[in-house]
Amino acid sequence: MGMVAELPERVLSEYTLDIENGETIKDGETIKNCCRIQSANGSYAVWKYQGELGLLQKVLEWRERLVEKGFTEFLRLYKTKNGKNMVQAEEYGYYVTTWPSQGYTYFDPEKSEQASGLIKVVEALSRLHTAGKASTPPKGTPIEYPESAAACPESSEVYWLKAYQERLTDLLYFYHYLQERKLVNDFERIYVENFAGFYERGQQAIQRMVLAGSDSENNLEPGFLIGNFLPQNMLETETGIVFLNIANCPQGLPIHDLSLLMKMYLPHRQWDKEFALKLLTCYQEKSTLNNQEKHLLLAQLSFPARFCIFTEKYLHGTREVTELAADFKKYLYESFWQDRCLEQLENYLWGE
Amino acid sequence: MKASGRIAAWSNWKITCGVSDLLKKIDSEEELPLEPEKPGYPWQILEAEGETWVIVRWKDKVATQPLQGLEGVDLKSFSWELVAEHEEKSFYVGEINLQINYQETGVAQMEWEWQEPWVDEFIFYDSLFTEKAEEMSAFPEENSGAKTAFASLLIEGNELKEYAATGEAATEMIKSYEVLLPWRCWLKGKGKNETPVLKKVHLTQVGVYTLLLEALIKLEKKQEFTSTIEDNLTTIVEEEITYELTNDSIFEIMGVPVERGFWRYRYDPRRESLLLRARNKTNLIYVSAESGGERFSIASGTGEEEAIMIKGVTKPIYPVGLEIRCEQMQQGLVGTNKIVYQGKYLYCLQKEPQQKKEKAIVTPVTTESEVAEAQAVLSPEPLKRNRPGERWMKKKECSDKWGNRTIITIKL
Repeated sequence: MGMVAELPERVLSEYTLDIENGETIKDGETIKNCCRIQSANGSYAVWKYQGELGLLQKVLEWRERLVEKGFTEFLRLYKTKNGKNMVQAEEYGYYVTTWPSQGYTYFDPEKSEQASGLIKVVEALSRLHTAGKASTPPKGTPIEYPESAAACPESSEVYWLKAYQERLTDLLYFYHYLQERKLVNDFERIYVENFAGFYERGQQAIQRMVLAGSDSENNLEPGFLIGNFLPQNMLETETGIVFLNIANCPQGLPIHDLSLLMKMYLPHRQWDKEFALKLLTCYQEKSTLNNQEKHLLLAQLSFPARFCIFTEKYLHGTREVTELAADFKKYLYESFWQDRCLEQLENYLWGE
Repeated sequence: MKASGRIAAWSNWKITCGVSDLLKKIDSEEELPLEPEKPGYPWQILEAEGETWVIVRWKDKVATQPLQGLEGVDLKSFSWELVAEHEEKSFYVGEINLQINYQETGVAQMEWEWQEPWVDEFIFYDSLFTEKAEEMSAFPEENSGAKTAFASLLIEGNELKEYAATGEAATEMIKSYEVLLPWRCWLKGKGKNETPVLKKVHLTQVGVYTLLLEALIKLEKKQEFTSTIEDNLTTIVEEEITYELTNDSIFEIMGVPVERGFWRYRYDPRRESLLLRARNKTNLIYVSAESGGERFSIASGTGEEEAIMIKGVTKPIYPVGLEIRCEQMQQGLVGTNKIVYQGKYLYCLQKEPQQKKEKAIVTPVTTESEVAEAQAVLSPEPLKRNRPGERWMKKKECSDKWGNRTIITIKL
């Protein structure tokens, strides 16, 4: 029964669910934070959330508003007997959503050569972002962040910049550490060899993000993001894409979602220029990018994120050194194709 | 000295108190640690008594496309010049000119395929909104070495191919790069200077585009000693020590020069012997078994040692100097990081100073002026000393408002 047995009795008693069967599913972020329930009335999912419950409440309200407007990108929220969105038990928040009974598959990036699934995701994002832009909160509304994040940043823009800069600074520390020692394996050798290039690339990306924020004419207000495009977090249905767990969704500009999606799946397609253009064209059919978004998209696409992750894995010993060194080499080869693709996107976005 | 394990004890009281001129140091039970030094660029030099080891290093991004293989190293020239000589030191300046040949492959031809690259991108993105599980200060463990996937070449100096200009340009696949490695060093010690020798060359790939080149040069003096074993104040000392190299493993031992200094002498009247105590630094120059990075390396360990001079030492005379002559020396590698070192030394004490200065003083002079000059130098005029009462007498001669005085001496 998985998590069902572990659920506090109080949680289930708040709902009119006649449970027949329960099964724990992965949502891609944490295991055991979702339980699929089969009841006499249909299929449901019970979601467990750890974090700031006020924020969860706002996220649930936001997605409920979109569902009510007819957006099918989220599962419909199933309310408690008292009409509440969620139940609090200890430090956790629990909420229940409906679950499609049939006609869906999990998103598979390798399924079709045409990558129709990825196009569907872009279309879904474009629809959601268009709706989001139309209903952004008035300028100056304070933004709330997860408790685990840095305490009360001044603005979404500053928060993102600081987060990126911190990752780069960590890389710099490690580089200085290696400078003082004899390099002992291929990972360290490739790291030292290529650090300057990746660091500069990261700094240029951050500078571009700053530049994007300085464009006051087009300055958009941040909102909630999807922030999770792992295959196990997306259901592909006949009508489109359903995003499952969005309770942890961060806040930022909608373009962050698009850049994350492209960054996650373009390496798999060897940064295919034509395909990247197809995704952008598809997105812009409903939501045209302004200058700020163009700068942010290109900046985030060029940020050396996996360089940071390889380093973190090396430092924490979570992956074999030889495998990491091999990955690092592949990442260098990939950069060649990435640069060519980004150059093309740059020309496309600025109409050159 | 227990800590460094480098004070030699003496095996037998009878031997040390006897008349035997052969004294054998007890084998040290501990393995004395030798710590590798961090590789230096563009050179790393070990200057010991009678021998100098120079490691010249060069590392650079030579390739514009990923490196695919190493073709070889050609020696274009190896030259040196003795530019200065002081009493027992010679200063050399030289350079090595090598051409390295390698292969590249266009990055566009490199095959790469990811297994779920989206996971790492997501992890990074997610980490922007979550606290880091562990600080990055959790640096990797010291021994996180792994076998390299990069190619390398280790070539004996005398097996290096001489460069021959063929007039053919490098092919599209095979590229060449010329490296000029200048070096300078001192060679200290008594004896005749031997010709500098290029012992080994090491070329390896240390990145996707980077090459590392190392050359190991040895300079040596053929040592000449004034003392012989027949001299009165000569004692034979044998030692056998085991060293352990930490944090590395050895492919080949090139040398184990020992430097000694900070001598202290003490006379033991009961044993009628002279005790010598010194600090020493044992240096190991070796080729590392760990490929993939710098392979020519220097490791060292410091310690303290004591020796006893018996033969001929019957009076508590402070010696003028000491000459240590290595008669036999052997070292063997046990496993990959233990070195058994056996040495036989002659400790030759010098009792009296050389008379060079005296000779200089009694240089014959000819002319009168030279005689005067020499006298001025050799016997300066002694300071004039007043006669008793002279001071008072002088005062008496001076004008004085009191007029003449009478000095009365009262004898009790």
